[in-house]
Amino acid sequence: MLPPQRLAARPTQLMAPPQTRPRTAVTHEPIEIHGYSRNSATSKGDTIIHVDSADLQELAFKGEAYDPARPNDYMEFCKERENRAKDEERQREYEKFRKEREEEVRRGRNTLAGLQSLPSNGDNRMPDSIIPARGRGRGGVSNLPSWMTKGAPVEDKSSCVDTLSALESGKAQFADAQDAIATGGGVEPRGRTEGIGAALMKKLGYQDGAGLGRDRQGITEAIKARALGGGKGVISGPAQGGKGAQDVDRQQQQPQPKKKKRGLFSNPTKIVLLKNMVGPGEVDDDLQGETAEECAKHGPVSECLVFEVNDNSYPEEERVRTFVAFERQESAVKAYVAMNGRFFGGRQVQASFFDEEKFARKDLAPGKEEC
Amino acid sequence: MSKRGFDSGPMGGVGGEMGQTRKQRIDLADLRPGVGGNGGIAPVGGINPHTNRPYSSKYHDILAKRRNLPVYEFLDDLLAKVKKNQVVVVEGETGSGKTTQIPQFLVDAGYTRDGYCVACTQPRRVAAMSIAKRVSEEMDVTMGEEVGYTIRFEDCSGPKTVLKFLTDGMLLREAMFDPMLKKYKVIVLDEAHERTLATDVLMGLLKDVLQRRPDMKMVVMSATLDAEKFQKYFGDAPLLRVPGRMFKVEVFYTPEPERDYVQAAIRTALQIHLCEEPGDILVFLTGEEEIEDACRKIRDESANYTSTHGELAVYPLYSSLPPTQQQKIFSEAPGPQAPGAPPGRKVVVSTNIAETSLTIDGIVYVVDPGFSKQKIYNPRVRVESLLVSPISRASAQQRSGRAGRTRPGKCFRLYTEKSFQKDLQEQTYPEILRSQMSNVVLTLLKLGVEDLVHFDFMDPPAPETLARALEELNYLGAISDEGLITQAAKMVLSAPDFGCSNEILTIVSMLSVPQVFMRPKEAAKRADEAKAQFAHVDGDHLTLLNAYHAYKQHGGSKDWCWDNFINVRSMGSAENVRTQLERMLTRMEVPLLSPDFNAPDYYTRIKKALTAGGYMQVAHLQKTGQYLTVKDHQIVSIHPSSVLDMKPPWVLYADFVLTSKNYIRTVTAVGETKNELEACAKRLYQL
Repeated sequence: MLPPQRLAARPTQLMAPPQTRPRTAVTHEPIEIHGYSRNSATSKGDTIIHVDSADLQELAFKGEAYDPARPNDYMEFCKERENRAKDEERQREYEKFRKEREEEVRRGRNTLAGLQSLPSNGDNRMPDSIIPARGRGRGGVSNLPSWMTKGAPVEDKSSCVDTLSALESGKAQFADAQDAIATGGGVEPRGRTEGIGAALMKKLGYQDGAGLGRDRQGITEAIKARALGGGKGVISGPAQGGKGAQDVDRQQQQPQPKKKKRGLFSNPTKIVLLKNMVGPGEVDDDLQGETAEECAKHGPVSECLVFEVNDNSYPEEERVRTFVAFERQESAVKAYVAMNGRFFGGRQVQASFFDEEKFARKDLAPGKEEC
Repeated sequence: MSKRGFDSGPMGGVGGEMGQTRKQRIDLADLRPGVGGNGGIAPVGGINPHTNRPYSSKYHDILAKRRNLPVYEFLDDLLAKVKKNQVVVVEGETGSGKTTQIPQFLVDAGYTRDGYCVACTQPRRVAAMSIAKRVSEEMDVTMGEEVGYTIRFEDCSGPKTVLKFLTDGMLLREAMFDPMLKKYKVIVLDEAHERTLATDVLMGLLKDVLQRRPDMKMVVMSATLDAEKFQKYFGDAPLLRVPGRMFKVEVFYTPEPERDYVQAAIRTALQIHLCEEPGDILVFLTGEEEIEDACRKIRDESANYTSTHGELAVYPLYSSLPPTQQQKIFSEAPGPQAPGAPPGRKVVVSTNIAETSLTIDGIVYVVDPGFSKQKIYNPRVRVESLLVSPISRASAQQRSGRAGRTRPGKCFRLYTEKSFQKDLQEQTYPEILRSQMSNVVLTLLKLGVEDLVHFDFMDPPAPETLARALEELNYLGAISDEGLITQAAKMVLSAPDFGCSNEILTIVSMLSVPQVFMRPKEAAKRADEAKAQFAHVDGDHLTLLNAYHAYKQHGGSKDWCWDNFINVRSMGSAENVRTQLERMLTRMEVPLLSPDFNAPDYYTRIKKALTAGGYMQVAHLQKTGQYLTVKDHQIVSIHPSSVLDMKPPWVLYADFVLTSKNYIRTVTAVGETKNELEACAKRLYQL
């Protein structure tokens, strides 16, 4: 089995790191303490642990040992000490994982991507940090995890540049998630997958916005399906070839992409229209309030309205229209940037600006130009 | 809906002029004396060159029929083109006989001399099997000997095989272990117009192989009008157009859109039964459930009319149906109930399997609701789903063509002519644009393709789809952060040869998660004792396997894990990685096998498979008692956490740990001698 030096390990140290422990020569009679649980999460099965009496000695130094002069409850003391032990164990474990992980990163280990937390539903989706939680939680917008509300990607459906920038920002979100885990006492390091696809492609000479293939003639945008419910849908996509290499080169000479983004804001108004916050028939009393509350983060909101289209011929994601009127246009722009493309209970919100006059008339149905 | 409800559309003339092109059929035996090595198609009464036995009488019967096939006239043309060019594109309507005849022509023309083989790929398993059976009869040989087939779970071919039918996925898998496809002289890619994922990958791959193997030939066969695209892709390859044997098909549309296409299809089928001349019906629906349901309804309803309009036999057809059930669609339509009574009719309710690859004789009426189930992948949410979506115009054409196989027929489209013209797309998107790609990427990497971005796909997928695939593979530990295929992935891919892919899958999944065995300092001894329960004398890989088996036996119980110092979360992760890898392997048509647990070589096989995949990570015992790694000549020791308690001459390791001392971690004893190792790793060397 194990090499002998491994088995003849030193007596266990329970409480403190060895370097701080004063090793005074006290009786080395092992003391049995009952009730110590080695699990931090479940307290299962009592374990008998041998403790060096030096440990107790040390406890006395810290003024925590049983003092008959002080009116205290010995049981309570034991419990407290136990808790501390747990904390320390957790800390140790975390340190261990952290070190190991650092080591792994250093030697560029190639057997595994070092992923532990996996999606719980077992299908081939990626970790939760990338996919927003399914199903709409009660809290709605205001309960979104921090990484979802920070730097939400702006998605421009017509360009792949944005896809990649979304990926990039996904990376940032990922780091947040990792932090959250680390601070939340979790010990498992998350994997380093997000963004690696894009990085590898770049290494192979992929240029943003180009297609794949020998002549980069491939499609730049994935084929899309428009679900019609009941397992039916229409598959459509820009089957036109991607921009060839030359086009991309030309495009890179002129700072095109930025301009394009600005195009989205060509005529911002004070009214932001949010589509697909919830599905048809899912509108409840809280939606209005919650949305207003969430949007108020970007500036004072004067009015919030929810409008549902009852015509079945409209696509599902177009049918619930939430209007948020801001007092200032800047706030509306901010809200637009933050909300567009964000996931809300598994749905991707589509934001746009809405005509102020039409809003004043309460003409909220989808106009011709939208369809 | 009555028959009057249909307007006759402009599509009525499908293949109307085909009859004329067939007028000059000449007897082949006269036409081409001794083309090719074996004298071409053997003369009447001769000796079968494949078996050296005289031809059976059945052979001559079939031969007479074969000579009537349209493709027969083009034999010389084809062989001349193949001789002159590396790639030839053949466009032939269904029913031209190209699938059964062209591979045989190539064999007879001598392309299989010197031990070479002709391969013909099919997108579907059923097709590969049934065509192989048919061709072996035509060639008068035993199936599995000279003519064979290979499909996912069955290899019915042997050393004598000169003509092999196989699914495109299987050829891809063969390419993984023989990238130059040395065995084959000619590759026939059949049904290329279907543009399955595997066909698309094969085309990209073969384009490269053909350049490196000037002696190799390829014939791309396609059914529809898209041949120019294939020609262009393969460097302006010449085209051979073979007319099919098609009769006029009259096309009808509904004047109004249908609300429920399943109901409409059932109604139309019954209507045909009641009002139309004798002739069998083919109804296209989308999926198993829908088809079974429709079959039941048609059966129930038609029972009322049996006495007056004859019996209606209803057969479902979809890919998950067992082969014996599938064969039923070929049975004859029922005869009249009584002398003088109207004859019966056959209805086949099918998915789009029957659209091109399966030919059912006797179909005169086609009911086309205009839908099929199509795969679609959304890279943004990483979900692949099946969606019932409108078919393309090309599909609709194919469907209507099925009615004109035996005599002039009718096609009833359950949508308006306007939507046919306006709403339907010209072509169905190739599968590669609608699928997730991780298995394709893994296959390509295994094949040594590194530049995935510029791989010459006919229709390259979206960049986002590739990015997702790379991420997923990295996540599963199949590719490294540098984008290279990992040892683990290689192990899994070569495992089926040792019949233990299930076990290797488990080990690889266990390796992909850290710290399966917990060893808290306070309870190190107990933890070691717990670990000893799973320990295998040969090392840690097998110990991990044992631990996983035990975990499964205890139903993944948390308490059990706790009691045995096993990290529950790691186990959960391992299980998850395993499920995902398993799914990917299934898609890659890698068989999932387990050796008999009680067999004496259970662990030996697994060790061999581990060695085959991980050959580069072995170390050899030195006289000093330390180990030397084969790859980079490092002096290393076995990590103290290993269960190995002796020092075997050769070990395989999963991890190289650089601390104060160089350790190799997760170590298993493999083989006593270097020869033994190399035997296992032979396949790896071929790569």
